[in-house]
Amino acid sequence: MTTTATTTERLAAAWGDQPGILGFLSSVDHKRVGRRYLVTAAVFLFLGGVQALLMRTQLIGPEAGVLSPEQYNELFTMHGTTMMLLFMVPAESAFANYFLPLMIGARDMAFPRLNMFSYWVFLFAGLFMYAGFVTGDVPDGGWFAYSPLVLDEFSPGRDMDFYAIGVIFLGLSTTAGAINFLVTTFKLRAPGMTVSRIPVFVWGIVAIAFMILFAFPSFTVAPLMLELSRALDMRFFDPSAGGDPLLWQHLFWFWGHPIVYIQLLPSTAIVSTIIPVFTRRRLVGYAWVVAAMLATAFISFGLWVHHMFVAGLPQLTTSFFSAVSLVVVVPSGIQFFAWLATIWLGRPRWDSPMLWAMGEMLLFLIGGITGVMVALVPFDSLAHDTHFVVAHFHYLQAGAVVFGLLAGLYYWFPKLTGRRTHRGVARLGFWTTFVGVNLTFMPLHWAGLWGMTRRIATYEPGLGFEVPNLLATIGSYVFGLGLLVVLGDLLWSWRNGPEAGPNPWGAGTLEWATSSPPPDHDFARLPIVRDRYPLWAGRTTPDDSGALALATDDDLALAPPDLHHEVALTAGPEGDPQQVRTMPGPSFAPLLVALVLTLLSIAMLLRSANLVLTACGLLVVSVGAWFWPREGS
Amino acid sequence: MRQRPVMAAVGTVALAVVLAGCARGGLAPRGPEAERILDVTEILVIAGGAVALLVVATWVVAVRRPGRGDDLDAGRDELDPDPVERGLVLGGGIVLPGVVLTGLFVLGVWTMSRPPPTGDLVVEVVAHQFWWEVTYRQVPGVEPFATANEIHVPTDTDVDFRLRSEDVIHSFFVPQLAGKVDMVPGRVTSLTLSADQPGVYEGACAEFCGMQHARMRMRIVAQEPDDFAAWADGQTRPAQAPEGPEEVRGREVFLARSCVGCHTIRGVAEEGDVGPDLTHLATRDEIAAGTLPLDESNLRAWIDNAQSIKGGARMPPQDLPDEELDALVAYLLGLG
Repeated sequence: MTTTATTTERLAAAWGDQPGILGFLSSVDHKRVGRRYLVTAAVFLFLGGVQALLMRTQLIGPEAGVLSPEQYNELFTMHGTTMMLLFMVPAESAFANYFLPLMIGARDMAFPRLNMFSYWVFLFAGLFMYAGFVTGDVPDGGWFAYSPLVLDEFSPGRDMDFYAIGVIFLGLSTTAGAINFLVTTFKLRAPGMTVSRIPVFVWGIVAIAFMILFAFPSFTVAPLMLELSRALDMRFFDPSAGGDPLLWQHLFWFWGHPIVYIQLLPSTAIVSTIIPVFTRRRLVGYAWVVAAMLATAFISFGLWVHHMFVAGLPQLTTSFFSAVSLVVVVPSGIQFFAWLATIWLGRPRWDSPMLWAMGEMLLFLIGGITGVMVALVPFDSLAHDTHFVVAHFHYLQAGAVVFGLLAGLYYWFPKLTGRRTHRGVARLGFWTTFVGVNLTFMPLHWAGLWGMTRRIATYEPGLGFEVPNLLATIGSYVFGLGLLVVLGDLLWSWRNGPEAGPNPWGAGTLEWATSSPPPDHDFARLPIVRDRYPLWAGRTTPDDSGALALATDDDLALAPPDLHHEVALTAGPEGDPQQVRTMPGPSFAPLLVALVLTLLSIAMLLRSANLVLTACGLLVVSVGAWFWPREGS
Repeated sequence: MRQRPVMAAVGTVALAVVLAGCARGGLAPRGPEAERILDVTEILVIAGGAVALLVVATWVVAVRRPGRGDDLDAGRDELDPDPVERGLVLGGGIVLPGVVLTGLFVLGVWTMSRPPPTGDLVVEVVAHQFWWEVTYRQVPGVEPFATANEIHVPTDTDVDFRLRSEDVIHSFFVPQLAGKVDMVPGRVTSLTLSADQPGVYEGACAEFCGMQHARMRMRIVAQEPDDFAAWADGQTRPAQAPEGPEEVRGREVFLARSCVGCHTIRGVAEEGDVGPDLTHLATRDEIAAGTLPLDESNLRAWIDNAQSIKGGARMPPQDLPDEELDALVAYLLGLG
C-alpha cells in the first residue's frame, strides 16, 4: 500500500497546478476548464434570463411602455445571441470538458492547452459582445442579423460590429473545442473501450463536434462578409451591386439550423445516460441511439431552408427541405422510443436527475410535434415569424435543452462537488421550473396563431393578444423563480450537502470509478474496459468492480517516478493500447494568445489599420511562444 | 350535488368563450388561402395530438408496470433481439413517424400546389421602414393609382400582389386571408389571395425590419365589388380642391414647407416619393401604418413631431407655427 500512496502523491504533484493566481491563470486541467465553462455559462444564462424577463414584462399588456422599441430590440438581440452562443453551447462544453475524459477513462483532453485556450477565447468573446452595454452600442439587429438591416446604411454606429466580430472570435473557441473532443475520443479512450462501449453521452459530443466542424466555417465566413460590408463597403448582400440579401440567410442558416441540434443532442444524450441509471437497465437499442444521433448530425445540414420557407423560393426547393425537415424527426423518434423501452423494462427511481430527464422528454415531445407542424410549408406560412415559432423553439431550447442540462447537472453534481443536493428543494425547483416553462410558452402558441408576430416591441390593444401574453409573462416569472430555487439548492448543497461518495447513483460509467470530486490526475491507475457499463458488469457488491480492471504500473508503464504527466494513447475501433505520451503541463500561452486575439477584435472594431497590424504581429509572437520547443517535451 | 349543473353551465360558457376567443387571426380564415392553411393546421393538430397521447400513454404504462428488474449484467453489448425492445424502438421510432410523416408531407405538397394567378387585379406593394406603399397596377376599368397602408380589395376576387422592398427585408402578413410572404430587396415576390366576405383584416410586417417593426401594421379592407369599384374610382381622381380659407391656407403651407419634398398630392405636387401618397388621405382610417387612428389631434401631433410617436420613422419633426399647423391639418383632413 505504501507504493500506491507514493504513486498517488507523485501523480498529484505531476498533475496539480501551482497554488494561487498564477496556478489559476496557467492551469490546463480539463476539470477546471469544465468548471469555468459551467460558471461562465451560468452567468450568461442569468444575463440572458434577465433580458427575457424584461422583454416579457414589456409584453405583459398592450403598449406597456416599460421599454423603448430600441431597448426591446437590443434585448431580444442580446437574449438570442447570449442563449445560443454564450449559454447553451458553452454549458455543453462544460459537461463535455469535465466528463468526456472521465467517461472514457482518460487523464486529460488530447490538447490541454488548446482546451484552456477555448475557454479564455469564449470568456473574452462573451465580454467583447457585452462591451456594447458599456459603450452604448448594444447590437439591435437580431441575433440572426439579416442583411441589409444590419449593414451600415440601416445600422450606423458600432452595434452590429460588436456582434459580427464577437461571433467570429467566439467561433475559434467552439471549433478548437470540437477538435479537442474528437481527438480525445478517438485517441485517449481507456484500453478496451471499443466503439460499441463508448458511453452514449460521449457519442453525443462526437456527433456535435462533427457538426461544429462543418457548420461553424459558414458562420465564420458570413459575419466576416458582414464585417467587410460594414467596414470596407464590400457589397455581398446588396442587390444593386450584384449581391443578394438571401445569401446571408443561406450562410447563416447553414450554421443556424445545425446549431439547434448541436444544442439539443448533448441534452438528449444526457437523458440517454440518466435513464439507464435510474431504471437499473442497460440502455435499450444503444446502437440505434448512437446511429440516430449521428444521423441527426448528418441530416441537420439538409434542412436550413425551412427557415426561409416564406422568402419566395421555388416550390420544388421548399418541398425538398420540407421533406428533409420531416425526415430528421425519425432519429429523434428512435431516441425517444429507446428511452420509453428502457423505462418499460425497468422500474424508475425518481431521484432529481430522473425528474429533470422526464421533464426533458415531455418538453422535447411537445416542441418536436410543433416542429413537425412548422416543417409543412402551408402551416409555416402562417406560423413563421409569429409567436407560435417562439413557443415551438423555446419548448426545445428553454425546455428540452435546459431540462437536459439540469438533469445532467443534478446527475453529475455529486461528482463535481463530492456532495448531494437537497431532495425536497430539488423537487420544488423542478416543479416550479416545469410549471413556469409551460405557462410561459404554451399560451404563445395561440398568440402566434392569432397573428402575433415576433420581435415586436409592443402590440395594440384589441387584437386579442392580451390573455396569452399576460399568462406568458406570469409564467416567465415562475420559470425564473424555479431556476433561482435550483441555483439556491446547488449553491447551498455545494457547501452543506451530505457527502456523496464516488458513486452515489450506482451508475455504470467510468467517471463514477474515481473519487468525488476526482483528483487532478482523474485516475490513479487507468481502467481497462470490458463492457459498456464497466462498473455494472458482473457486479455483485458495491465494492466489486467486476469487469473494470485497473491497469498496473507494469501493464502500461503509466506513472513511473520520473515521467509521470502522461496519458495512454489507444488506437482503432477496438481501443488497443498504443503508446504512452507526455502531456503538456500548465502554461500562460493560451491566456496570452486569447488576450492578443481580444486586442485584434478591438482593433477591428475601431477599424484602425495600425492597431490591427500590431495585434497581428503580437499574434505571431505569442503563438510562436506557445509552440516554441522546450526541454523535455 | 346541486352544484353540478351550475358547474356544467360555467364550464360550457367557459369553453364557449375559449372557443370564440380562439377564432382569431389564422384560426378565423376569411378567404380560400387561409382556409386551406387552417385545414392543414387542423390535421396537424389532430395528428400531433394523437401521437403525443400515444407516447404519453406508453410512458405512463412504462412507468407503472413492474418491469423486468435490474439488467446490469456483463456481456450484452450487442443489439438485443428482445421483441419488446425491437417493437418499441423500431415500431415507435421508425415505422410510426415514417407513416405519419409521409402522409403529412403529401398533404403539405398537395396544399401548396395552386393554379397560377389570373392577373386581373394586380396590386404592387413596396415595403419601407416602416410603412407600405401600395400601387394598384391593374384594376379593370380604371387607371393605376397609389395609396398607402390600407389595401382595399373586392370580395371573391383573386388579387395578385407583387411584393417588393426598397430598403430592408419585410414580410407581408394578413393571417385571416393568407400565409406570409417576404419582401426582399432586389426581388419581386408574389401572393394571390381573395376574401370571402367584406370586412377589415388586420395585417403586419412579419420580418424584423428595424426600430419600429412593431408599428408597421396595415389592413386589408374587403368590399363588395361595387363598393370597391366606387372606392377605386374615387382614388384615381386628383385631390379634392380646398373649400374654405383655412384649407386654402393649408395647401399653401403644404407647398411652401418641406412636405412636398417627400409626399405627393396628385394635382397639387407630385414630386415627393419618400413618404406615403396623401392624395386621398382622409379616406384612410389610420396614419403612420396603423400607429394612430386618423383624427385631427393625432394628425396634428404626428406632423408636429412624428419622432415622439414613432421614433426612427423617416418623418422629421416639423416645428410649424400653430397657425400653419392648424391650416395644414384642416387641408389634409379635407382630402377625401
